Order: sequence, then C-alpha cells, then structure tokens
Amino acid sequence: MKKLVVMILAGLMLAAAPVHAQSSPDKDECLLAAKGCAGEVDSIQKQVKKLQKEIKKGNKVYTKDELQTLKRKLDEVSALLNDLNKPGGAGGGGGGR
Amino acid sequence: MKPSSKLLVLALAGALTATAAPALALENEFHGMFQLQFDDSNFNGTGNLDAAGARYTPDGKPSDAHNANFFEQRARLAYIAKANQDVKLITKFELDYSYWGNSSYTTHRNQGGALGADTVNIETKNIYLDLNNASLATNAKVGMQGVDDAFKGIFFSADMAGLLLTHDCKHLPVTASVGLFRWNDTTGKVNPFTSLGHDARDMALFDGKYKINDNTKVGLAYYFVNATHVDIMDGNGNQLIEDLTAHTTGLNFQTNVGPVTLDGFALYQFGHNGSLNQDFFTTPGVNNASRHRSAWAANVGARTKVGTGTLRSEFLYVSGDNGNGHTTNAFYTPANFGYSESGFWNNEMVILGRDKNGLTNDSAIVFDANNKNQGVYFGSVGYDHPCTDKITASVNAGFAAIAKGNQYTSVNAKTGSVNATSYLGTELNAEANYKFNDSVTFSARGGYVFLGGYYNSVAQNGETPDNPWDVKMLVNYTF
Repeated sequence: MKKLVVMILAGLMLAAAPVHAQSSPDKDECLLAAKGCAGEVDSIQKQVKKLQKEIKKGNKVYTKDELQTLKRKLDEVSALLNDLNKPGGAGGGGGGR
Repeated sequence: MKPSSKLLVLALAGALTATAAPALALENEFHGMFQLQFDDSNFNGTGNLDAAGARYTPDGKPSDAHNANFFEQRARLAYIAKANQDVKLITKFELDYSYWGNSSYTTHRNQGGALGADTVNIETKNIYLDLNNASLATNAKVGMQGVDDAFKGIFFSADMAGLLLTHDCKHLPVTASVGLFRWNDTTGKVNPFTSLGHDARDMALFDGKYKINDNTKVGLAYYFVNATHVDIMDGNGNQLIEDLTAHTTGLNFQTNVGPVTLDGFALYQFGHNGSLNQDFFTTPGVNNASRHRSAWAANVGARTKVGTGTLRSEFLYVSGDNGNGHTTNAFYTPANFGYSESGFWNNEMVILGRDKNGLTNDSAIVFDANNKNQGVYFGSVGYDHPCTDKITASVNAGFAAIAKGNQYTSVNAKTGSVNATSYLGTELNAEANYKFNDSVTFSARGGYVFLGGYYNSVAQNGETPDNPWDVKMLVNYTF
C-alpha cells in the first residue's frame, strides 16, 4: 500500500514540476511568453520594432510554432496601432470608428 | 492515523496543491493616442454641412461661408488584460472635445472643452474577449469590437457587438471568418413593444482569404443585413425607419505585377426595401419603400516605387439610383443618426472624400459610397516622399462625379433643375510630417477643391458656392 502511495506521490510531484521549454539566450522570452519582462511596458512602436527584429532571426533561433506566435503578435500590435488612429467616430459629423 | 501516514497525506496534499496552482501572471497593457489639431476652413465647422455635420450641403446658403477656426482634440485609451497569449480582455475608450470652448459642467460625449471643464464625456468603444486556440487554429472575438469589411471599408468599418470566429486552415493557405452581429435593437420604438430582438438590425458575415502564392491573395466575402422596423433616427433626433434586407457579396484581390502592387474588389448587392423603409438625407425622412435593391461597386488601387517615394492611385465606382422604378440601384451602407458607419480613406482626400485626420468634425463632399443614393465615380493619384529620416511629405489629386442624379441632387436656383454636369469637383492637397520621435509627429495638411458644374448656382440667390478649402496643423502622440 505504502509503495503505491509513494508511486502516486512521485507521479504527482513530477506533474507538478514546471516544464521549461528549451530556451536560448537569443530568444526574447518577454515577447514570446511574457516571461522575464522588465517592470515597464514598451510603447506600441517599440513593440512593433522588437517583434520585426525577432521574426527576422527566423528558424535559427525560433521554432516554427514560436515564429507563428511572434507573427500573430505583430499582426495584433499593428492592428491596434492602426485602430488607435482610425479616423472619424463621433458626432457633429462622424461615423467610421 | 500513524505519524508516517500523516506525513504521506501532507506530502500528497502539498503535491496536489502544487499541481493545481495556475501558472498565470496577469499582464496589463496600456496604450493610447492623443491628437490636437487647429483647423482653419471655409468647409469644416461651417454652416455648409447637413444636420449631422457630415455631408457638404451648400444648397440655398450664402455662397461665401464665413471661415471657421477651431481647436479640436481627441484621446483614445486602450487597456488590455492578458491572462496569457491566448486569453485577453480588450477595452478601448475615447475622450473628445469637438472644439475648445464648447461647454463645461455637463454630461455628453465630445463636450467639456470650455472654461471649467468638469464634464462627463468618456465614450466606450470596445469591450471584448479575445480567445485563441492554437490546436484548433481558431480565434474567437466576443463582444463590442471593431470590424472592417473586405472592400476597403466602403460597406462598413465600425464598432459592433457580436461574435467573430476566424480559422486558419493548417493544410491550405486559407483563412475563413464567420460572424454574427447585432447592429441595433429598437424593439418597441417603431411598433408597439413586442419582445427584444423582434425589431432589430443584424448582420451575418463570411470572409474567406486564399493565398495563391507570395505575390497574390484573393478573397471572397458575403454579408447579409436584415433590418426590421429599426429606428436609426436622423441628425435631429427624429424617428427614421430602416426596414430592408441587403445581401452583399464580392471578390477582392492583391497581387504584385512587376514593380506594381495592385489591389481591389468587385461586389454586387441585392435585397429588398420593406414597406416602412425611409431615406435619411432629409428631415423628416422620405419613404423609399417596397422596392428591390440591385447595386454594384468596383475598385482598383495601384502603388509603386518611383524614385525614393511611392506613387499611389485609386479608382472607385459605386452605382447610383434615379429614385424611380421598382428597383433601386443605390448602394446600401449602414448609418445611425445620419452618420455613416463606413469609410473609404485610401484616396487620401481632405474635402472631396473623408479626411484621415477627421475627428469629431468629420465632413466631406462624398461622405460615403452611397453618396445620397447617387453613387460615385472617384479617382485619385498621390505621391509620398520621405524627405529625410524625420520628414515626410505627400501630395494628392482627386476627381469625383456622381453616378446618377435623383431627388437629393443639388438644384440650380436659376433654372430650377439640376445641372447638366454630374462633376462634383477636383481636389488638390498636400501634407508634411515631422517625426519628433518614435511616438510623436507634427503635421500640416491643406486641401483645396475646384467645385465642378454639379454645384453651379445652387447657393443663395442663384450664386455658385466658393471653392472649399481646409488647413490643419496637428500633433499626434501614440504610445
């Protein structure tokens, strides 16, 4: 019985242990997975530049899935930048967004 | 329980707790923009506009409108709460002063720009949940969100409440979106109260994109609007009824041909106006009921490098209606309170089309693709030049004419009938931008329109209105 409990316990301990993805010093873990970010948030323009720079590193540094994640983030950040400056959107002559 | 068993239970509890602890750290992102501009114009902010302040309406008014001069400002704030990369709450807010000095100690959007300020004027633009599932390759957006059509915004480009699902096919370069949006629900305002959802305006969306190769993308889109006895109100707060169905479907493309990038679309729209449907261009609204709808539009845009700059061009055609017969050829675009919830900004106009710097004071001769049911022929050519790392400049020319005259077409006060020419005017504009740093830009932009024969003798006493002009100086901070 004890052996069984110990085995279950060992299994649970393994499950509880954090799984670290392979990281490389060249990877920007803050952009990729919001890890190790400094206390401040980058401006939206800085985020665009950083993402473009990381995507350029390509397969040498990032996996295919990681590159997809970075590209999706670049699309999202670019869309937000455009959206913030979208024209119109009020009364007294408005419409749009 | 034996001490050894107790230890085991404690260890087990500890391990379970560790397993259940979430590996989440909420990430807060805060972004926004601020824009302040000074506008000097005989167009924006003058009396030569309709009740909504949107469409150029010089008919019967003095030909030489007093120049307007005003400061206008806008701030937009975005707060994004990210549980992780796949779960986000997105919120966006807007605070406008339509012009400095307008009012204080009040409660209304765009107000509070006068001495003392103290006004409740915050607008909520977006609140939605953004969910992503990598294994299903599907994204869901649920709530009040900004949505653009696949036709450069001529049909809709607006904030709307609904659900949008987007799927990236894993084995094909195809992206497909489906969505359902409730634009309005004015149950009880036109008919006696029934149940919510009965008198509503809904939109269903399908948007597919196929990447043929690195040079060419094509798309197919379909939008269905069903408006049942909806009160969209005119610019003066009077009831105005929209009662129609509209199916809009079309193809779009983008391709590179040598050094030239081409993009555009062709669409067809059909449907039916119900027995209560009204046009909103006049007060009170005029019946445009029990007619079939059949409209079409086409666009092509081109851009290419010339020297160190970029040469751009756009051409847009939208069908119009003469107001007679069992079928209307007017292109339906959604409106509310006389404003348009669509927009075509690619032609970079200041007056002839809507200005990209239009904030609360947002006016144009061709305000939307419907253009008072007249449709439009719209051509433009422009050139962007990067003068230095810090300075850029652009020049543009635009040409517009209505596609078909109808009861909303301006009337020559001398002859009592519409002018023989449908030409609205020619615009020339220029802008210069100085990039102070990554986030801050100072700009100056001016436009002048040589009015076409469409406006001959339409002003007070049969005079022809002065040619409109507009000059803006602005500063923009986006972070």
